[in-house]
Amino acid sequence: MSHEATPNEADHSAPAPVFDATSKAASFLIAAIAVIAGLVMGWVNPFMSKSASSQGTMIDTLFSIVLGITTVVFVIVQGFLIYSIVRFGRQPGDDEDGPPIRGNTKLEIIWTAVPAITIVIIGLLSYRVLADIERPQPGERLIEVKAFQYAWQFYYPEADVTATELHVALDEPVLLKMRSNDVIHSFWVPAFRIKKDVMPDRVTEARITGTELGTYPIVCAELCGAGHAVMRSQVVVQSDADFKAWLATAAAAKKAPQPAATADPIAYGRQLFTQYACDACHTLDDANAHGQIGPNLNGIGSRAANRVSGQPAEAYLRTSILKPGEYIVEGYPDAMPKDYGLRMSDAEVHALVTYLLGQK
Amino acid sequence: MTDTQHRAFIRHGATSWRDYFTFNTDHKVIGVQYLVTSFAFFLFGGVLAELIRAELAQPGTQFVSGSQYNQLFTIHGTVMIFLWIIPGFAGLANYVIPLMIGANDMAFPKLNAFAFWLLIPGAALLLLSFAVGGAESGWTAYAPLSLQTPVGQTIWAISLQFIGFSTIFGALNFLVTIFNMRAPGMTLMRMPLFAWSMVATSIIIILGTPVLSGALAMLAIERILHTGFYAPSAGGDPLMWQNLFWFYSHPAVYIMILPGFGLISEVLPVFSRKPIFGYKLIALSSMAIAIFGFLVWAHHMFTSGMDPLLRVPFMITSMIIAVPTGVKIFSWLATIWGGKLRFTTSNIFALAFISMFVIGGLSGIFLASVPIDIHVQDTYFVVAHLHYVLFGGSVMAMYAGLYYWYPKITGRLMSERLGKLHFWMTFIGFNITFMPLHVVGLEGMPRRVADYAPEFGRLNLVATLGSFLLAASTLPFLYNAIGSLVRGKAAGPNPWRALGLEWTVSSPPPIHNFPAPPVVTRDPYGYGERVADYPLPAPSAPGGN
Amino acid sequence: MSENVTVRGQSEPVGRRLDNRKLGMWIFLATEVMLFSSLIGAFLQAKAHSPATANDALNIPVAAINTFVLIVSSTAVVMALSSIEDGNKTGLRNFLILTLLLGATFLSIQIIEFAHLLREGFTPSGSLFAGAFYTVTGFHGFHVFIGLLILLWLIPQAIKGRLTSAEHMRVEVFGLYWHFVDVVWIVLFTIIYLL
Repeated sequence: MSHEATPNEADHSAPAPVFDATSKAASFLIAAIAVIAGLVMGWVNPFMSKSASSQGTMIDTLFSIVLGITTVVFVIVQGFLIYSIVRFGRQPGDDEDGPPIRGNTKLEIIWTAVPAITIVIIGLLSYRVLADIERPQPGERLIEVKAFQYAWQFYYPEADVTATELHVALDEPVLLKMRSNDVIHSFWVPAFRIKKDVMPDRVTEARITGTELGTYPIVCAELCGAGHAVMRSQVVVQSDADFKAWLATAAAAKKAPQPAATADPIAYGRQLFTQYACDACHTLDDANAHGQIGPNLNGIGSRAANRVSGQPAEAYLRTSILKPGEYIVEGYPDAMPKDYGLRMSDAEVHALVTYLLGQK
Repeated sequence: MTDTQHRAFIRHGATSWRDYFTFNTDHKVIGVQYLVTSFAFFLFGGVLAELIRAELAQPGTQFVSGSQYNQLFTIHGTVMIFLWIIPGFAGLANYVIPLMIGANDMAFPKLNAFAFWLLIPGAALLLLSFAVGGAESGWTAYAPLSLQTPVGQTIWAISLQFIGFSTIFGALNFLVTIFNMRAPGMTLMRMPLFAWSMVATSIIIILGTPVLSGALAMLAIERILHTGFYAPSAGGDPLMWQNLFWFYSHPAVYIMILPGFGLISEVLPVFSRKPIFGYKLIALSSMAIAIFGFLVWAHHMFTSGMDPLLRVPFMITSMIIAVPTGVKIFSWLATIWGGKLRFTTSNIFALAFISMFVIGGLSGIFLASVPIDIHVQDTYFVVAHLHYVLFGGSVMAMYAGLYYWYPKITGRLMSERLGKLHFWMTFIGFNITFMPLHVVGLEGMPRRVADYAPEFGRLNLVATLGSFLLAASTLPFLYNAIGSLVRGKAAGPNPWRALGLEWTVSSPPPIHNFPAPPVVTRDPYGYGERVADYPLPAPSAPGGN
Repeated sequence: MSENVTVRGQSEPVGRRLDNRKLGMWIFLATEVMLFSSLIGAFLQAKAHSPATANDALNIPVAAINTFVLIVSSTAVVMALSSIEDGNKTGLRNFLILTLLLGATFLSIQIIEFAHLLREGFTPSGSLFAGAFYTVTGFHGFHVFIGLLILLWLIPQAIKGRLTSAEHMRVEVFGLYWHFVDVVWIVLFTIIYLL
């Protein structure tokens, strides 16, 4: 090891480039670009499509503000970094050390205080928005949400209607009271910017007010098992008239005389099909079902006998309901609830199988 | 003391490669054991990541079932956190800290070896849980889902107990070593900042990990004995799992980044030839992060149905913790400002660390704000955030440290050319992979899904292609690290002309580090100042660009 | 450059600092405090969600006796340490053996109690309260057991006279551990049986 006393000292005769005119100019330039970029980003917010709820509008505004502020910080940090890389590279042959600057109290105070004040501002704004989006609204409509592995159900208590899609009226505030049948799920409408976990041991709430007509996905946002990715539904924002019409139709269908098991087995089977939310995942025109997650059941009566060699149609359908994992149709997930055997009576299973056998 | 066998199976020091497979009490051997083992798990976790990205390249499920996919990301996350980053930094620190503080070894050399070897059964059990299947509720293992999953979940929970003990014993060792065994004259305020960061990291490990241990023990006990801690049907509370889990797992992210912070504070001054700017604030900010880190955990639970009022104080603390982190970033920028930068591979990774980590830190501000978090919680926005801080942050810092201390550990220099190739592939691949994920998250793609809406297909394909580049980037590193062992130029004791006690001994160091305890009169950042504790070697080609 | 050079062994700290082993044990006890905090927290949660009669099955007098046994055993450890500080190797040996016997008594009474409770139908899967009870007292009992193993390692050394008034740090460190285990039991006794 060489002990030649090569001093690790800098040549202090020339002024350090730290404070020279170019550096000062560069600093101002970086700061100016940062502010401009922040304003542009905050104004434009190119990262999300327009929201469709009043809550979403407020959240998006807050997001834009935070985006603007973080853009300023981003440009400052990257700017000073890049400038240093470009300007302060070692000149070939220069083995001297740099200036022995260990600190600058004023600077350190500034870059502690300014971020602290900034986040206080962001915190206060966030608190305002939080209070606004969760405040109880006069005349809000109560809708109950049930989550289970792997589908959503929505219940309208005043009309005693259960649906597998969430319908809301334009600009009508809605209070969702949610509960899970099994594990933790999370109710998320990206277009509304609203999300809330759905728990099995308590009711959780979310407030939404749809402000744009349209249909928007509902996505499960908490890992809930093998079918988590396909646990989807949609929220339909309709005009007040359309919504009331939809609700009335659904209520009327519910109030129609419940078919007795023997009197009209087809109608009974059809009713069970919706009662057990098969329509959440399956398409079956006869039952007015449009689910996209499981196989299309139109014509299942004709196909059932041929699905598994040696299996008669009735046995196949029965197994498919009680042990859904046995005969997965290729391309579809193993996401059908496995507890129908516990939830349905034998008579109900039989009725459903009979109904499906008739779907030729 | 000579390099003799203590007992039949305990060795101290390495004279051949075989010694690295023994129960060896030399911190330098243990450090290498940790580094090689954890890097192997980095590669394994990376393979799992590639399987995940392959599945996500297109909408629909192509290669794996829903359940298999859930296992992929569960094991990926668990491995990366518990078998790569945490033990990897522990290994680097194990090697370097005693040398940096002028000690001959850690305070408890046998405990040190024991802590490393505990990783092996832990890792074996974790792999077993993967093989047997069932660890499929994410590394976060929320109940009640984690009560329903098959037997691999229990094995997973037990494996983490072994690994947890390993980290606890390591942390204990670091604290006693750093508090008690510094060289004469090395006051706390003259201590290298890497040592400060290891003190902060170790305090977090000591106070946080046992809570995870309790939570996991209860999970296993409930799964086996049906006690009902977390199960609503038995009167239990799923939120209790979340609170116990996050009480550790939030501070855990600081375990994963603080050593990186300390390391960056070592590398930047050397390659700028300037003292570290704001030593005191950097040291104190590490301690502030350690303490505050325990006060923010519920920001992972903002959408959980937790008490709505409690969200506000947690939002405040989560925002406050940005301040000490910002202080560090600005201090590092001020360190390089006006310096004489040498663009060694180590330094390039350190500079990229600043650039990438700040992106992750800024996306964290969004997450701290409750209303914004309501939208982005559990989405790919979080996945993007965490990879910017953990890969763009921790992994890049790790690489900076590996390139920096490799010559000390091996006595050889790595190839700078391969290093730069490694860097560019990593940097470009990393950003192509993770930048788009911010957008798909904001637009509506949740986490932990094998399938997604078709409109996210294009950006997911871009991310997957980026991930292939990122995966390939490890190849030049491996080739360099292994090849330089035989082909690298001799490094000499101080190829970087760095201050710091580790550079006063040979490369590799003698088995007992220092023939006599060095006496210290200043911190190791006196670049440009007229006095140092020892003279630096003359400038020469190795280490420069 | 060579002033103040002192040759140091690996475990010797510099100056007036706390001995490495003692500092190490204090840090280890910090981890134990956090572990028991999580389990005790879970127990309190379980208790809050259980009917008021949930702990009727528990036998307070027996637990009180056990508390007394542990407190006496802690006293024994204090006497053991005091003995060896005075160079009294016989005293050290005797008091360590006494600690072992008392600790074993505690564990035996615990095991008999558990067996009794299980026969009565107070089982881990029977109620959340019972599950939490067995978990937290089981962890504590396990720590007592580890303490006994350490004693089985220490006592032969005491018998052979290996520990002296000058060098007996392992007794002191063990004492710290044992006192901690005792304190945890006092906390558990209070919240499980008395509250």
